[in-house]
Amino acid sequence: MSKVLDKSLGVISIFLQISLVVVCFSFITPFVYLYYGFTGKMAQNGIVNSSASDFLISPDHIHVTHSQIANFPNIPYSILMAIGITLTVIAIIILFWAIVQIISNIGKKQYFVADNLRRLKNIVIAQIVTVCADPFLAAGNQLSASKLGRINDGLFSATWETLGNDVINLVFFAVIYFLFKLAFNLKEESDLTV
Amino acid sequence: MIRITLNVVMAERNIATGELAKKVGITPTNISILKTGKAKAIRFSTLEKICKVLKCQPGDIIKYEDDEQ
Repeated sequence: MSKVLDKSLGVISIFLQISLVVVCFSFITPFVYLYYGFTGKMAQNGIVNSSASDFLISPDHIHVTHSQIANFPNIPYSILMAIGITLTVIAIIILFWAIVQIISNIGKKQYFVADNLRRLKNIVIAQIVTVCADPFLAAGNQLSASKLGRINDGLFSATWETLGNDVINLVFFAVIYFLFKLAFNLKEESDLTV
Repeated sequence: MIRITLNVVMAERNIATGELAKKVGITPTNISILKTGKAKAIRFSTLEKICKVLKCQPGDIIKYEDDEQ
């Protein structure tokens, strides 16, 4: 393995490990959503006047009326988003950790090993969790867009279109996993041929 | 299933793994893989050398056993 590739993988690994720590803090977000949802402040504080600037304003909904805010389904929205965010964070942690471990194995010149196969399987599992999270996030984001004209543009801005993309990604990852599994089995057979 | 009886023949000939590996020209690890039955395949060339060193027939070190029995 070239030195440039080795160092590049090292840099990616460090960034992923830092990201992992940051992502872990995102576990707080679902609780914030639930708090806002069950105290009835979701529409007012969480979406319309969000300090995080995660929401784009739809041109035909620049001003939100009090009745729109009052009629917003705070609890269903917060539950949908909390479930979606929790699943997404779990998926990101599984994905990042798997990539960090694969990079570590590549650094040790361990390519077609059982550990890499297991990590690739974890990546597929992470993608399945992402696909499971998407409907919750998409439904929640559809509520904010249709009821308040606020389009989520933050980290958890999945739409129904994202669900389709993630399903395609899942197929893509699954194909890579099965190809790697075939290669691993071939290598194992070769190693165990005396 | 195929059962490897190399260890039996080795015991009869009183030959150690390291010595057999040296005479056959393969690593002791590979001999160990064969003895423990972990091997998925054996090359004709390896089989020939083992038979030559141990003065035996392939059937002496490889046996077929019916799974149902």
